[in-house]
Amino acid sequence: MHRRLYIFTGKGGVGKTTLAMSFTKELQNEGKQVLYYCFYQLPEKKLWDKLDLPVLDLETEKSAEVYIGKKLNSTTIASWIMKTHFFKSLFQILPALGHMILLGHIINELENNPDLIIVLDSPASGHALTMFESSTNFKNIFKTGLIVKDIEKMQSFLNNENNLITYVIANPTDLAITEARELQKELSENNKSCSIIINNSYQKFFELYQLDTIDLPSFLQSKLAAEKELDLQALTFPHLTTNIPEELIRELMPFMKELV
Amino acid sequence: MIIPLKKIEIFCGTGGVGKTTVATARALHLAGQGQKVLLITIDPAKRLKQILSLKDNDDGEITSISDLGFDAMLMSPKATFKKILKNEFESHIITNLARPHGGMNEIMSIIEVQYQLKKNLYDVIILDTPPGKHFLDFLESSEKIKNFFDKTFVDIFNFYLKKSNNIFGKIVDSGIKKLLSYLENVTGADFVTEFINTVYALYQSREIFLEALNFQDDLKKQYYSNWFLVTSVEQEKVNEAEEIKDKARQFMHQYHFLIINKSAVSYLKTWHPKVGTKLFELKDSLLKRELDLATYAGKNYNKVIKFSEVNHPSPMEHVKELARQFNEI
Repeated sequence: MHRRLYIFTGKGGVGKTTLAMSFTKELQNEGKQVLYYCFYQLPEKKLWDKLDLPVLDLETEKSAEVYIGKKLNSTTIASWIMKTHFFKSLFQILPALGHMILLGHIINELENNPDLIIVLDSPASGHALTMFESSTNFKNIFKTGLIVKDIEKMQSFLNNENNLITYVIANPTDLAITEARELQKELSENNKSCSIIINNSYQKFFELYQLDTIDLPSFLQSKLAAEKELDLQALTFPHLTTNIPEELIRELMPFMKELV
Repeated sequence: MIIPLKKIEIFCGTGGVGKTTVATARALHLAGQGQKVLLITIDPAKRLKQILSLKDNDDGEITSISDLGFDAMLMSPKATFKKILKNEFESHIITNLARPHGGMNEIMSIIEVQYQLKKNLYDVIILDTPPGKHFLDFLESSEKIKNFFDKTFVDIFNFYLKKSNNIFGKIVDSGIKKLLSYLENVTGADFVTEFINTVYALYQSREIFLEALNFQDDLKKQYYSNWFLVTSVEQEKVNEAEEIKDKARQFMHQYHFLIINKSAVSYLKTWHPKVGTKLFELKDSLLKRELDLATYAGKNYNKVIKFSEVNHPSPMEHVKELARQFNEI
């Protein structure tokens, strides 16, 4: 069964973006209606074009304008409000407010179109928690009012495991795994369904091609030894030898079937 | 190559390149030379905590790492707010936003760093920054603070005074009243009242916020700051790295360093798998990655520092080995 929203996060440099794009392409190949969304990161637009990636285009201030317009039943007032210096600087100084509004908008898109799947490429772990926590924090801040009802609706969507799964990506290193486990713990405490995925595994690479590990240079030996010591029970994707991002993303696609 | 001593050192780059490890190694290296060093990490991922085995309740406090000879601090927006708010003030809004993942880390850290610089207790302050767009948030935070205080605060402040004195209550001014009434429709009236009170409390400490703007100017001064852009062959986001560098340019000076971390060239050059095998393909791709990065570095940077991949699973051993490599520069 497909979830509605897939979130890819994890420590920096582990391949969140690569896997999120590859997963999106795989779903698209299967004929699903799927959109990739790059959440609060610098967008890799050239790569999107090369891959012909289906992308969701949302921008914080525009999203906020749409939301306020709906609440006040006037797009004119909403547009005036968002142009005021006050609101502009408020959004700048409170990134979490923008996070919440974007997440709300994404959920809205999903609720309006039952066939749509969104793959969210999230910032690294600490900042992913900022995104997840934004709704709780602002619910506490606003306490009452129209916005709180919407936040509650949003939270009930996110807490339903049929809707959302978060994949925490880690490289097979001690630092990355520890960070992934911390994040997994915090997310499951918040009722979010979540699993750890190991990416860039040399062990898996050697298994996949049935290669002999003797005669390897010492840095690879020690990488392999460290991996064995971690003794992981998680879904694992191999290190691949291509250095070209779009090729890597395409080569990983068959492995992405395991994520559905 | 000589890396001159400066008041502040900034380590930045995309995720996973080893910023925290390299910055910690730099602190260890400088402490070894007799410098009094404070290392601050503003990334909420808090790898520093893991590397130095700090405790959770140490957030926002300066901790002495006695066996390494320097002090360290994990950025905590809550602790920073506490330092700068003049009067004892309980704001629901601030309490929630100042939580570790409330999203205020980047903005508040510029204030914290300025606060520490002003106290002048250290020879060097080393900053470990968050990756990607969040690093730009950090760089742009003084501009955001300025925007906030320049107009918004003054508007709200005036409105607040008028409301509380009830003298000018009937005068409809710059639209702020209308704006707040719209806001009330969406968020409820309680929030608006509390928001105004919070803004008023922040306004009383505005000097401290605005002082943080000086920090931005100091960063641009060559005698004051060292900038280290950290990268590694494992970095996949070349475009992101480029964009960070381009945007960071307006905040830094020309005298900056590129650090290439986790280089495995020396290991790869002595490895000779048979041509045509999968192992040869592996070696070839790993080596090509290294050479591409070296070419890029040579073209774009005058000062390149290269660190070799460390063959050890323990983060602390990584730090010690990189500190040793700093000694050899």
